[in-house]
Amino acid sequence: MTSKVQLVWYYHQPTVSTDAEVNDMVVTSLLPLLRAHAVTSRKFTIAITGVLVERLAEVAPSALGQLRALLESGVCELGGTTYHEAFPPFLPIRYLRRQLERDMTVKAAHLGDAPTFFHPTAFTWASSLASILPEFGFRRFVIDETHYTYATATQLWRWTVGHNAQLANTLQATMLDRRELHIPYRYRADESQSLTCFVRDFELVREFSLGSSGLIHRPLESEALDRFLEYVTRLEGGGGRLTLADDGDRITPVSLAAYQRVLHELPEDVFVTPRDASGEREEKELVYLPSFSIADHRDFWLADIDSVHYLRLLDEMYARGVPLELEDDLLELQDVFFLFWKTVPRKRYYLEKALTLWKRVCDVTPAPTRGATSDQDG
Amino acid sequence: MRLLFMTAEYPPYVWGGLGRYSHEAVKAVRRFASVDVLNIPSYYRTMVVGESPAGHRLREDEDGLVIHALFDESLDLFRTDPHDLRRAVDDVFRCLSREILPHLAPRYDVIFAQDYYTAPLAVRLQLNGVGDKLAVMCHLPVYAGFTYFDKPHSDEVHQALEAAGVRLADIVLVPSEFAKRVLTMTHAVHPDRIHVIGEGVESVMPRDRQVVSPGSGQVVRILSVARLVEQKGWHYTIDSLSALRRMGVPFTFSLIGCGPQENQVRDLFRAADLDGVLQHIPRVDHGTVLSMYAEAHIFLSTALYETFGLTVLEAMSGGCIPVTFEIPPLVELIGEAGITVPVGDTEAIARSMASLATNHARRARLSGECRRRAARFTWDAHARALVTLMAEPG
Repeated sequence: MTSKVQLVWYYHQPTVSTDAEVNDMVVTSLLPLLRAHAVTSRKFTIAITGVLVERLAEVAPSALGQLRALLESGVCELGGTTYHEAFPPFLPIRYLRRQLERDMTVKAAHLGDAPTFFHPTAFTWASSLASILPEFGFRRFVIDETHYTYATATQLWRWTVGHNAQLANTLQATMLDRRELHIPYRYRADESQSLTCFVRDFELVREFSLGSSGLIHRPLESEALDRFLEYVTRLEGGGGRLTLADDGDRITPVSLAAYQRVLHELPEDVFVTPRDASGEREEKELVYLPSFSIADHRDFWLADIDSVHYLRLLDEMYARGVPLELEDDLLELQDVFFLFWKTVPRKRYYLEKALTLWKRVCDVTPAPTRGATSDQDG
Repeated sequence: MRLLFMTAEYPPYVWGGLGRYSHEAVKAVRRFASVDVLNIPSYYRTMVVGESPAGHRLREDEDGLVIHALFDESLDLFRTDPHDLRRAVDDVFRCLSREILPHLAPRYDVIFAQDYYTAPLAVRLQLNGVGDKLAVMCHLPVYAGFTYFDKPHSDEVHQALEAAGVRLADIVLVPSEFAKRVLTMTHAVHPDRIHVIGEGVESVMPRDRQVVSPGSGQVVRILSVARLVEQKGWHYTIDSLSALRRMGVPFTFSLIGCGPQENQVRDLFRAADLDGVLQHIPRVDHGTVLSMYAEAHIFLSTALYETFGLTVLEAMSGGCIPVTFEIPPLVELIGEAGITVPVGDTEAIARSMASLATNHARRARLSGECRRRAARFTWDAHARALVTLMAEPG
């Protein structure tokens, strides 16, 4: 039985990118991707941040027009995101909601679509998202397999001895059958609502496309791609849904040819989008998803003191409370750019904006008194 | 001005690329400055014809240019573990000091390093007082990992070498606005410190032969000049030519180039039943290449990544109309003097070539436009810009 394939692409450009950089991305990645699917009518999903949608409206309106046409034809399903590329677990709930709300508004205005599938930034997850997503009409979302493994781990700890006799412990991973990753899961938001959770198969993604090492980056070699196509069509215990989701390693001129071959050679009905999930296969129950960051995790994001300093600056603004008229400025500062790019000079853009905003916030909002709690999380 | 030109390839063994740039730039700069060349071959060295490994080579070419070269099989930065990179650079520099330094002039006004391989060594030379000023030309800034899939080693090493040059150079140069954007994404360098100086051609060639007259039944001559590596998108070239044949347009196709994936590319031509139209010339002298530009109608490039496109410019200088994908540096170079189509759209390439084959007036207009645009990029102008920049005070 042939499996279904769910191709989920993610696009974002931070506000610090120049128009020329946005245009580079459009001509070398977004347009070739859209065209490949327009020609073949193979279904796919694109999660494109709201801030990039607005930028495209200015810089590349024809690309936005092509995307709109694919959405209207049903070839493409739009994924919801945070408006900027923000990490849900790092945000106070109030601002997480604002990111989602702003994203939905932009997508409705420019693309006429209200997504029901959510793609969290870099597959990070805040446990509170489960109750927030239904508020915005989301019915489905995607996580990474490392998150699934973590969420389903046993509570057995393994003690290990490292350098200098330091003791460390690791949570034992669950014995994982890879076919588990190809099942849609039902995750209850509350008593009355549930969400469908897809798990991206990271090993498959790595083989398929990741960085410059995946098989679609080897356009002159066909054997690896042959094996992949065979795997998809002859998967043992078929009928699963392979989720090949991406967090920003976009289609490139190099990977395009092999990608086109995948679209041409697999039957049309193999390709599905999250919306097609209902009734396809019985969902299994997933009881709890803890907050999670795929890059393990906290150490990576907070490795440099600059990031710690920046986040504390944001924390101070959260604690003081940012007036409504300044909220948009704060949303922009929540972009992961500052944390992800460790040393590039354009980080200054965010730091300077943060300091300017902080001064404005101080002008209008008194410092919180000792012992007072913020209502920002409400 | 006395200038030490550091490169990893001299003289050129291909028609575009670092070797061609080094050769042409040195020739042009010598009109304004005294130049010595220091060649430290990277992984290209095994392909440098006539040279054998080990030690220092010193020779003088027919124009009196002194070329120092360091050959040592063990000195390969690209095969170095990233954690040992500094030590590897130390090793190369020690060898450089021992073998080459005694033969160099006592002091240069400028050390001009090409690309990341020679940049950290140039930094050491400057710190040791060999040159007053350091200029680094970043021909192919490292960023998008996919651009290096034809190279045997990881981006980490490339990027670390590049960073060493960029952060300490007094002058950072790139060949296009696109390259500047790529460089500013990854390094602690302010955009104002990066200067864009496009590459060049010796001169615009006369095109006194109208090799194809208007009318049907004429054979359109298509030419491609590039290394036989994936980065040049040969699979798209083959698809484009197949589509053109389906359209019933008679054509010939000449391919000048060699490279590590030569057999794979030839197999693809064979599989597409295009052997009959393919004229493959693995190696030929540059003068012959220039005359072939002047005789061809269309220069077909399906390159997937460039930071300038020197062969495209050379083709334009011969009135040969480029048809390429709309990758940013080629759009920047070609402007309105050619045809760029969406990336991966081989049907659009074929339609464009068919249109040029049958529309004589358009072909003549574009061919003239190519030559006019190419005239803006000469090696002489390039050298003047370089020397002016290098002569600016601190």
